[in-house]
Amino acid sequence: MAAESWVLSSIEARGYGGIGASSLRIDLDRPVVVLLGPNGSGKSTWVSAIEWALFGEIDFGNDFSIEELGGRRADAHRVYIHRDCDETEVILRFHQGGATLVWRRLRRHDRPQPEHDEITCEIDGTPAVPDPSAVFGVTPELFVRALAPRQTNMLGLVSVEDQARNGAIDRLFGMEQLNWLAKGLSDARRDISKKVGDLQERFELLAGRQRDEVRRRFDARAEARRRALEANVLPGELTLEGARSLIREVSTVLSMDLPEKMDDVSSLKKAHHSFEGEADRHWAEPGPQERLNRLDRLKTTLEAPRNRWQEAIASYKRTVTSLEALRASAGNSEDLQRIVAEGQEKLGDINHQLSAASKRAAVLVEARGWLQESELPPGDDLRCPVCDRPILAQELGQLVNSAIESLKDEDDGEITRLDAERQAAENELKEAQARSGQLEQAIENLSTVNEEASAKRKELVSGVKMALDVWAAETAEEVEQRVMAQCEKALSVGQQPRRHGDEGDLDDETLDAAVREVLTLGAEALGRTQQEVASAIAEAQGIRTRIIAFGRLIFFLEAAEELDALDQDLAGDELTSARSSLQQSQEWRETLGLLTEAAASVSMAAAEQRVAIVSPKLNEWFSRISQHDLLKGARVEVETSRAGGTIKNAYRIRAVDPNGSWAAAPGPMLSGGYQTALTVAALCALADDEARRHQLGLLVLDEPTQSLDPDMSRRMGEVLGASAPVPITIITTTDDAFAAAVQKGAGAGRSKVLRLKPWTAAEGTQFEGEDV
Amino acid sequence: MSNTSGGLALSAFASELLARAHHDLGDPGAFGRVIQEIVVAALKHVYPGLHDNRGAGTPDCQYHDGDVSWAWEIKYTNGEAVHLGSRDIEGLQVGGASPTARSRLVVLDIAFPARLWVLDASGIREGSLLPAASSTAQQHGEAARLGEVVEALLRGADIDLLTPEQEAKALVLRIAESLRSGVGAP
Repeated sequence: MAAESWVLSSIEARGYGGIGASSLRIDLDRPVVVLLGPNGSGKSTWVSAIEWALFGEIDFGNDFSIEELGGRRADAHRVYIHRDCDETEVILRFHQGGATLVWRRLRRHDRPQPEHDEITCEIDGTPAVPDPSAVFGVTPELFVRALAPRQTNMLGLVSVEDQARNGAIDRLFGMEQLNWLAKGLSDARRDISKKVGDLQERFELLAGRQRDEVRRRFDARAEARRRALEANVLPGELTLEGARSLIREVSTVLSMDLPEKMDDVSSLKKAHHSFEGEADRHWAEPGPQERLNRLDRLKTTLEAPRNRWQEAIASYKRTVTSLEALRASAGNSEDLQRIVAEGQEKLGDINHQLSAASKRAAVLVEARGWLQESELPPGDDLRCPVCDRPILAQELGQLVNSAIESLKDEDDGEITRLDAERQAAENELKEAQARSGQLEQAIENLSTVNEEASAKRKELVSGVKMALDVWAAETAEEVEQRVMAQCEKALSVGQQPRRHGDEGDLDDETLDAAVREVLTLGAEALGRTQQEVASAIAEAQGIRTRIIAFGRLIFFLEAAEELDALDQDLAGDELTSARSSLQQSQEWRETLGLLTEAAASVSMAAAEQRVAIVSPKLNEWFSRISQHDLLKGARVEVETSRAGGTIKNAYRIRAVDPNGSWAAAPGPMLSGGYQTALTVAALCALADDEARRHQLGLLVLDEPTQSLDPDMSRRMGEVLGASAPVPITIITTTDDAFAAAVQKGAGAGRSKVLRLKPWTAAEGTQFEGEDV
Repeated sequence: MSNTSGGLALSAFASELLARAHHDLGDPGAFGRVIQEIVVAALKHVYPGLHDNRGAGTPDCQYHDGDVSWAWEIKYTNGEAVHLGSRDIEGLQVGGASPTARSRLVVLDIAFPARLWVLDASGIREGSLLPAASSTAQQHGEAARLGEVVEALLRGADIDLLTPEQEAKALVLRIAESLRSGVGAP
């Protein structure tokens, strides 16, 4: 509970603002004093003189501060001194029970800074420390907020703009700094969040670039590892030491010297390159290739000719056998020629006999015809044309017919018999001629196959010589020596003249045996050579496999080295400090977040506490002033706003119906007059509440009748007059009716109206008179 | 690897391998257990007599070297604060306030690039802890020794670590065994 208040009893001023050099004084000897005058007459000057006297300057609000006017420059502090005066002085007198307090401030033109002001405070003639806070419990902030609120702040209380309204009510409640703290912290958190976001983005970009590169190199390394394992490199060999071990293995196999340097990928690559060349050579010519070619050629040169020669010999032998069989069945050539000649002769004889018989038969047929045509009497004798003896014609005819029959009888006539004999002789002759032809043909064939065999023999011998010529041109290896010697033997046999008959056959057999031996020895040598080559190929393949493995191991080591090269960047100061800054900022953001929430909670709790006290008083004051048919009461609401990340208290002052079910906030729902009524009600409610916290019994209402209609203005005047919330209430107005209403409401002896003349440069602020 | 105020930086290879294992395993719990296997195997390598206390309570590992009592709690994070519960703190305080007690919080932060923290846990309290904000508690020498073995384990496992949890843990144990026997990766 506040101590008893000092009640302002008079204001005396000279050289202040529009007040000239002559001293003027207002006695505040009534609870309600109305300063009535036209605009610019100096009403507000008197009100501001109180504030200036107490604090040395006037708080014009954030947008119009001393600093804005010129900071500590002297001219900024001369604005309070009348333009024609060297100094200004304001004296405030207070009383409290029987005690008197005189507060005086004097400022000189030549030293206008507040610290040079002459300030005195005397309580019952005893000097006291001139500290408004110590004496009255009032600070400049409280004075402006609760004792003499600015018009702009009054309007702000009912502003439809959230920022203006919240700011005004914050100031009204004295919550401004607490709310600023929550708002400032939340703004800072929002700002730092944005900065953390930016920092995060920059870090992500920085780390992201490196991460992308790390990923790319990691993938390349993984692929290189996969390929190395595919090439039978063991996981444990995927090291530089593994590579060295491989080098030792390969150089041993290739009979190469170990490289001088093998301690980095570059030297490993060089070793790989030289190994690769040597391995390619092994791969391209594996084993005794020339020998293989020679022996292979020997086989080709001898095997087929020998086969062809042997086939020719077999063919010759078959021909001989066939000829002998022919001779055995048909005889030799001379026999067959004789048989043919005999056959031809026999056929000639038969043809001759057949011709004679045919002629006889023709004569007899002619004779029979003559006998028949001569029609000789049956007893006539005739001479026989053959034997010339007489014969009867009849008998002769019978003889002729009988002779014809013996020649031409189909069964056993002479001509028939001779014809059959001729046919048989012809067949025999043809057969003999055929056999003779066959024999001649066989003899001719035998000659041909004999020549063929001779030719093939020569071809074979030529092949043997060719093989020996190859060895003469190229050096024969040990494996080939026996083959070559056998070839020489075969050639020697083959170059001997072949004898005829069975001896010739023996020569052939000897040559064939020699050639067979060549081929046998050649096949053995070829087999050994082929094994050597196969073994060399396998070895070359093995080397190639290890070289490939070595190459892939190097590829892996290179990929791993490329990835490891990024370690320095990752551990580097840039990324580390960026990360540390980011994490530090994140931590600050968290801490700031906690502080913000705490401040917001404290601010809200304090606001709710104020609202709980002020809201009923507001309701009381508004219900006195309101003439509305329905909106008889008012209330203040508060909630936490988090719009845009800024945490602050958000207020609303509403006019409400008696049940509180219908509420109208300033704006289209509430007229300007009622908004003013709400404002004044709020100021009175707050002054009422704040009076408990200081010892300065004063309330200044600067022109509280804006937008009020005459009835409403009168009503408010009466209410303010009747129920002034503090010991002294100063009201400024330009409205005579309002001033009269205040007086009416205050009742006799409780108020007075001081009338001011229009201000002139010559006289300054002047009083016209007072209505008591 | 290098020891900085931002923790012991693991290699690019280790960072990427851990990130991929984290991604491939999908289950944070499973990944956490694989990480524990790696860190415990590394700790055992550095402190051969270490007692693996996982699953039995806290701390995760303990070791008595004469008068000195060591305790380790192992955590992993992905760039965020790690949460320490009351049991974690109790476990770390088994050695009491004795000057011979060494309680350590091992944090493997896999956010790229991966970092290893071996923090003196004597002053650590319950709640969230951002390793970077406790960088003064970093035990650089211990982190370097542990990090070296962690690196060796990861390089031994290589991308074969990218496999289900049980196989990954078995692989880590095989690598650890081969490291102990000095034969390198199996």
